[in-house]
Amino acid sequence: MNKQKYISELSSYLKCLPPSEREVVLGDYEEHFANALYCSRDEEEIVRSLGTPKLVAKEIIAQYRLQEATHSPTLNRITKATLAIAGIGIFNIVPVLIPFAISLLVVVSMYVIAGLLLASPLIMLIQNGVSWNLLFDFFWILGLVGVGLLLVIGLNKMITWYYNQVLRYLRYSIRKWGRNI
Amino acid sequence: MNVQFKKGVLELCVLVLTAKQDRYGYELVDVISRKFEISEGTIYPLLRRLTVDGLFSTYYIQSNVGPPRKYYKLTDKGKESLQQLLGEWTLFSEGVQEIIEGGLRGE
Repeated sequence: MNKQKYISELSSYLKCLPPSEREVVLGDYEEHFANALYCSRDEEEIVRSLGTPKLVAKEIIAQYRLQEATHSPTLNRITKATLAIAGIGIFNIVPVLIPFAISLLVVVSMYVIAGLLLASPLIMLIQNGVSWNLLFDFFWILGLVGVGLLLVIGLNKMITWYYNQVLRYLRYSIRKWGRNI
Repeated sequence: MNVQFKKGVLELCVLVLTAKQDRYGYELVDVISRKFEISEGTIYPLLRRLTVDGLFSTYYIQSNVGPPRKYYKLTDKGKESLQQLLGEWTLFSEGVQEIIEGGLRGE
């Protein structure tokens, strides 16, 4: 493989990055080639010591996704970052993906429980119809909705903390398993 | 050399090499790969991350002889980070060294 082929392959692997970011990255590798050639190194040898475009691209994308998620954490961005980091190598899949999947399941099921509590008046209404029972259960239902509301408020506060923990773990993962040295 | 060793110290190497002078990417690759073998493509994502995180600022210099080069300059934040990493590394390497010496003496 020669320089041109390497750069164009790298460029096509980096299609998912915004153009400005891709330009910066490709510029770095163009510069690397220019400097290495200036030191009279052989083109093939330069390519060999860079690592394959696919591997290099995977790492760059993972890094970019992680930056994006750190900058403004949303579930979507964090999921993308996790998948990108898990995808760097076959050995990443289990340690990166499993903790995320399990913790996400816990968080989601807590939201589901909160949702059910908030919807409890409706559920009871459907189940029992309008009856004296409903009046009887009024305070009981009020309690359930109250707990549901508190749970939602608590979860919304906790989610920021949760995102930060996930991001911390992802940064650790990329350090430990990410770099194709 | 053991891959995990290299992963841990690459960031420290890059930061410490720019402590006294600004350097360009290839220069960093060259200096480091003279000491231990690295996949050269790995330095640039690292430099990019450190730049985005605000540890480096960059500027271009057009050279009369060689190709134009992007120089990396350590920011105040970068200097702080370097001091911290350096402190951790010194503590760690001294500890390991003592264990090695003790172990070899059979203590």
